[in-house]
Amino acid sequence: LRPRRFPDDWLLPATVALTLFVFACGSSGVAQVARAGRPLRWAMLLLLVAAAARWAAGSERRVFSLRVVATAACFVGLAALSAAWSIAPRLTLERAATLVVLAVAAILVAAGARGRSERVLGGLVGGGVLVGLAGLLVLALRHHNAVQAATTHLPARYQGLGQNPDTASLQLALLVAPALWLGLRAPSRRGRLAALAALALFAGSIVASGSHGAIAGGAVGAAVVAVGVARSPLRLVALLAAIVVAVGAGAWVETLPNPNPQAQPVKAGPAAPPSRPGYIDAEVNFPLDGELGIPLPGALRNRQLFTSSGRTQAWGGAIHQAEHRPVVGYGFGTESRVFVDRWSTFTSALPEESYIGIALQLGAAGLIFFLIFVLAVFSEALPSFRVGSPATACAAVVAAGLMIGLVQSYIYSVGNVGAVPWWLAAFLVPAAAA
Amino acid sequence: VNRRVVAAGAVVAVAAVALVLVGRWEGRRDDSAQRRGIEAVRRLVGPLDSPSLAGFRVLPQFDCLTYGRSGNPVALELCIDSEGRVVQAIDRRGVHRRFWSLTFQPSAATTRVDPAEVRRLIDRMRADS
Repeated sequence: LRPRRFPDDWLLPATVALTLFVFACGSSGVAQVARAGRPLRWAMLLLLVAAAARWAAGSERRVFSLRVVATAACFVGLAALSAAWSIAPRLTLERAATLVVLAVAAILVAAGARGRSERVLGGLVGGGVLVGLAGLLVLALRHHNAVQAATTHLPARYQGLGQNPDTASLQLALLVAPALWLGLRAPSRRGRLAALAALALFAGSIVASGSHGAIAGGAVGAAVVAVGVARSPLRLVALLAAIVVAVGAGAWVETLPNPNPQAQPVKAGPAAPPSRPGYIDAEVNFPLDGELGIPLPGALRNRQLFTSSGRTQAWGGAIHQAEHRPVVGYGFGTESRVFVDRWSTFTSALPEESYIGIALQLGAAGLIFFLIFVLAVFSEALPSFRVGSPATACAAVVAAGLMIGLVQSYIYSVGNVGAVPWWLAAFLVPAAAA
Repeated sequence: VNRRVVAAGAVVAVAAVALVLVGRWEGRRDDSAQRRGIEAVRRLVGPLDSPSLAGFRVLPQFDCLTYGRSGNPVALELCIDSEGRVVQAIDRRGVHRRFWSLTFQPSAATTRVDPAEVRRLIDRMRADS
């Protein structure tokens, strides 16, 4: 993986790594870091487009998959077109524009990636390493920012650089696959060791975060890599068994921490003034953001492997809402405006399910267009799958992302830490397989 | 090739127009269903200052008034923004709560009440006023 030409072979992977890191900073739980990272990530995205354009121009044999680009254009085009019926047209146009910029960057990266897609994978893993190490730095310097304190129903959870335990772990789960692929396939021993060290960092951060979705996503990515690199059935079985053992151990560790029954509830500002006799302040007894599913007094929920964080109830509500506008939805980028969290066991402005999120924003049409895009990506890759091809690692990132999409709203939200690696990997599949 | 490009362009244009028409129709239909639900709850409540007025809630985006039925002090609820638009209505009389909401698009709300009266009623129910 040693760069052959300066600066083209070095510039793009470094820019990819830095982009991932800056996006993670924009979603940081450390207020100063988030303040700096939020505006900087859009500048970084434009820088990525510029670096990708130079990267593509420097390639002698550019790869352009019409099938992938056309199907992506349909999805992105629908997102932009939805401004015509959106409940917030300006917001829709802004969000669609960021998706267009990311798609352009991904197309350019893929165009110049023939024969050097592993460098892009190296850039992705490098970005994850920066995020993982920054998380450890936050843990050392500002423990309260790196660890979400235990509540009466949830144990303490590591969040590192992230805004919450599911933030950085989402990104790192996507990067498990390329780290594993490089750990098995990198040409030099030093490269393989470095990739495996990165993999250990990612796995440790994910397990400490207690994120079930991230661990499942990482497992799916690792399994796809195992299928792609195994040279014999015996080796495939051994790799899959190792993954199952590692995932099982990680999932078991995630169940070990216990909630703190003595935890004090977070004070939500000054107490509301009391109401006069005969009247009630409904917000005290029936808060609008949690009136559904209030647990019985004294009920203590220990978090187990399959304990839901209230998502399933919230998903039911979001699906019911999506049924109000089933064909084309409320407009791209409006998910957080339209979704109303009414569940006491669920705390998020989003339903935390990418496919329900797409249905809310773009209806069944959006889901169909997205599915066609994903099928196009895999259809380009599958016939060209060779043993050990970097296409395996790219497809694994896509598969891991689809898995995580079941429990996180992120794929279409460019500002999210997981969107950039997912879209880069999706467009890279045909180039890596070429 | 040119004929194919023209045909593909025509298909895309027709599909885009169809999607826009469907999107706007869906939006109008949903808005009108929400408006009907809000208006129905508004009628069930009757005068805002009715004897069944049982409670209130004050939120940054809107204020709400709740009305009692069969011992339930929050059986019916109307949420009103600062311009007097009823942007949400909730019916909690049955086992299943029913929500009608235009909080994501208050400009689509057509049921209106006097915002000054809402403020006066909330002030009457709060001990600090």
